[in-house]
Amino acid sequence: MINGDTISLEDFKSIAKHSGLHLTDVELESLRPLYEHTMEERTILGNIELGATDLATIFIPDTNVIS
Amino acid sequence: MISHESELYYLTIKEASKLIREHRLSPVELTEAFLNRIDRLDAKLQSYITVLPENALSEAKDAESDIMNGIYKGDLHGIPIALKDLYDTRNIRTTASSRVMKDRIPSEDATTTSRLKSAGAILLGKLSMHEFALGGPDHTCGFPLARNPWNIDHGPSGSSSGSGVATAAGLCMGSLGSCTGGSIRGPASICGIVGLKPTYGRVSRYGVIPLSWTLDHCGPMTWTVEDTAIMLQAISGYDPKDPTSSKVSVPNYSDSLTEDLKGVRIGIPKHFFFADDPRIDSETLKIVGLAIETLQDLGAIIQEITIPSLEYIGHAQRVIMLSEAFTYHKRNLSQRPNDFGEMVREWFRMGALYSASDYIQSQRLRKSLQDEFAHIFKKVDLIASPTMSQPAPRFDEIELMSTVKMLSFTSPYNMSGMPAISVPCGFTTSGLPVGLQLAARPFDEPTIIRASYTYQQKTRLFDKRPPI
Repeated sequence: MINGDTISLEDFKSIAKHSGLHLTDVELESLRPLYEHTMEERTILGNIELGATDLATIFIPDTNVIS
Repeated sequence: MISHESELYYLTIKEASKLIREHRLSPVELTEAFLNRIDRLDAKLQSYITVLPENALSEAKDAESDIMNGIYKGDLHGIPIALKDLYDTRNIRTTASSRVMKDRIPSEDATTTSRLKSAGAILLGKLSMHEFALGGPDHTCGFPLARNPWNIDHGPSGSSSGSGVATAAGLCMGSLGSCTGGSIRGPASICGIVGLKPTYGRVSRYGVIPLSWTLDHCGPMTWTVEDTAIMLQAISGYDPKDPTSSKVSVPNYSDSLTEDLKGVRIGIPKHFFFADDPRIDSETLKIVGLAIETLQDLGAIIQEITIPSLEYIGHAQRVIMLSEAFTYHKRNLSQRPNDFGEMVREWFRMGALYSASDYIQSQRLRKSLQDEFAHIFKKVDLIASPTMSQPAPRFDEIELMSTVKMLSFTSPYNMSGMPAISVPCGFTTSGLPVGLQLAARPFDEPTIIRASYTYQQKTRLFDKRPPI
């Protein structure tokens, strides 16, 4: 279960597998604190209200010159 | 004639080039002085992965011969420089400080390598770095970890750690670093030198091992702003081999080396860079605050500004950087995971765990940030701040989770693509350098150079060298 900023090893194993990472339990335990740290950051990012013109474009130098 | 070796390795590029041009200094003598110093000091500082004495001396002899025959290529002709070990060098091992690439020998030079050679620069060697240009240092990467020349018990920051250390310690006259979230300005600030991240597209990235395609930048690291202008001139300009390279014309950067700040408008986003936050060092803020007062005394107009997206942009930068990095390294992570250092392997695996929604939302926030900057730059010419939120940490205190929790003052400008510089502005009571960061509109490197040159000429902090 995801609980606050923590996640059970079983749930984390499932997420990792779904993401294409086939890791041992030891490797998962090692990676889990980093993942838990980013959970709050991802929630904050996801909750930001952006405008209709805030598109997911990549910066292209010659068309993004600020004048 | 310059006769003492110690007088050679602390010359600036500009000073040495004048002596070389006037036939008062031999490129061979200069190169030998640097090779001797590397031989003497680098076992302690560990700034080089590969030193190239034969190559360097051969190039120096060619430079000397050309110059004596009246063929002078400009300010970099006969100047010993070094490259972060992710710039491809033809027939010279290029590793990115990783066992994954420990035997990699490129068949072609990076465009920047090629341009520096064409300008007559002498390549002393390839510099240590954090593995694959990600945070570190990682003791398990299998490559040397550079030490801060101001205090070797402290880290030099990264990822262009060797570039910062070698330039600060007089083991090269200038270097190239690369920057995805602050890897040029960070080590420049922590090592007490100048580091410039140019505008995205200004300097080719062809032949440079990537970390994150949409965030990576290449740029110079030198002792003075004047030398930064010289190196930037040599490496800037359109490169058809790099699809993100810009066709915007390259100005003469030396024209900006004027001591004049009168009327330049400088914005300070105090809400972010000077916030009441335990992750920000109060002594650093005090030193940078004094630097901003100096800019005002020199004629700049200081005003407080607000850029709301700064609060979250660090999170978004991490999502983009790690997602792109995982994509690049996916196959090797799967097939040879033990060839990565432990810290970098964890970071890259984290890149697999972000969702498509995380990545897209981060790119949207990036667009929002660019719009906010565009609006602000109608009111100001530069934005000033500390380069780093903390001075150099002790080497033995750096580990994965401590780097995760650090507040980045540099990554907003990787996200926006704007140029930004770090210029030394003082020292902590324990003698560690602090840097002032100045950022400008895209392609307005001239204003950055003009302001930081004016500041540096006034404060002359470059007269103080590391105690090694």
